[in-house]
Amino acid sequence: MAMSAVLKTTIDRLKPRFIVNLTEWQASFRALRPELSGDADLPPLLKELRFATHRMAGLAGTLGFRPLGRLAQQAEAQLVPLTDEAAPTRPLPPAMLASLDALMTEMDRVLADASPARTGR
Amino acid sequence: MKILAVDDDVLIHGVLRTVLGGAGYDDVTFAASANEARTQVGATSAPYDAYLLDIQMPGDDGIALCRWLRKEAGCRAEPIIMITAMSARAFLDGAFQAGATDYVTKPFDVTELATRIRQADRQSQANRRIRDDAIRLRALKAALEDMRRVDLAASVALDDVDGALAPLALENYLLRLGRGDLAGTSLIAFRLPGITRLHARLAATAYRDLLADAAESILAALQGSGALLAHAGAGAFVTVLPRGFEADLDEVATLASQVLDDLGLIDDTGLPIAAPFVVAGAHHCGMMTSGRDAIGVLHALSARARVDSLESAEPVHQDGSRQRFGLVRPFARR
Repeated sequence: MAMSAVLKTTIDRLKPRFIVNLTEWQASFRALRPELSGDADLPPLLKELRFATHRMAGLAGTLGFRPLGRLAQQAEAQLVPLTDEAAPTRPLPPAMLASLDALMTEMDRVLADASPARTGR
Repeated sequence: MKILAVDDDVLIHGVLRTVLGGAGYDDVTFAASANEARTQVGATSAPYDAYLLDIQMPGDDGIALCRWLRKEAGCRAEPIIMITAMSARAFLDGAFQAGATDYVTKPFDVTELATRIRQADRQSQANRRIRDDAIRLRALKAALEDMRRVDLAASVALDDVDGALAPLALENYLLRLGRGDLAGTSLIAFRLPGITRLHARLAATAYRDLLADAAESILAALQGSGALLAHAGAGAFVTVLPRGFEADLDEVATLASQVLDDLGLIDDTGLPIAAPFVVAGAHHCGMMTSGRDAIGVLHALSARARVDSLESAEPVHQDGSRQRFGLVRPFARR
């Protein structure tokens, strides 16, 4: 089998596992996003979001979800300077919040596309 | 090529396994953290040829792992490719400062990744060739040294020293001398105390060099005498002085020692070699009627010098005082 065919098979095999991860990240983001505007301790919150965006950025593009990967990278880039700060403070940069919102919208879209009802599975 | 890939995401493991396998690299070990990677590196009997490291991982990150591989695990030249979603300049700089050889950002471009891996493979092969060449060179040097090694008691040919002959050639020279020639000829034996220690301490080449320098020093101290010399083994030198030369032999030994000392000889470890000469014996051929008689005396002087060299550091009389040699006369050829 040619390299590209082997890779496609591998990617097809990995995609469902990624979708499972993405579902977990979606739940996590939905829970964490309101807390960014609340009074929760910011460092662990930002760290968790950064870690999730990093994982997403690394895999999504490779598995064929290019817009998701790009948005995850942008969100991570916004989160990195904040997590490097010793004591980040509110209000958080609007650009960072906007990038997270755009990423969450894309996550919703990908998951909707991948849902059994949509795919007929 | 044996590869260690470190990424905390098992889905990435699957992608990497496929990409690497498709490029012909099937010997891949995966670790999910820096700690696990350290354990793998420590446990393997055959070292890895290349490393693929993610940067952002729980615990120590890939940059710290890269630094550890370079500084503490002895992976000085093996290719380390950072494969990461971190494209920010600070991560790029940090990775290369820690010793990374290449940097690939996720998402993977499969063709690009395969190209980088092949580049790393070429580098790894070049490193292996250099390492193997160095090992072969060391083995060859050791074999050469072994071939050049001589027994302490054996005579060493001093081919590059003017006036130095093989012992047999020196005997042949004496056989050619007639009675008149012998009347003006003297035989002197010198030795280097501590030669046993030097022979044990020096590499074969350095030992031969020491003997050659010692021979040149004796001949320099006997300059003008037309002296011929042979190494008789065990740091003993016998000289034949065929024409006029008159000097205090202890002073000759001191002068030869000074010449040798001025050469500033050092051993393989950089330590100075101190090797003062001692006159082991001397004889004037005087009334000898044939070269055979002179050869007999030469043998006796050689044997005495060798025995003294092997058994004691300094020639001593039975009363314990250091033996002195005075003038050997007459040295003038008639």
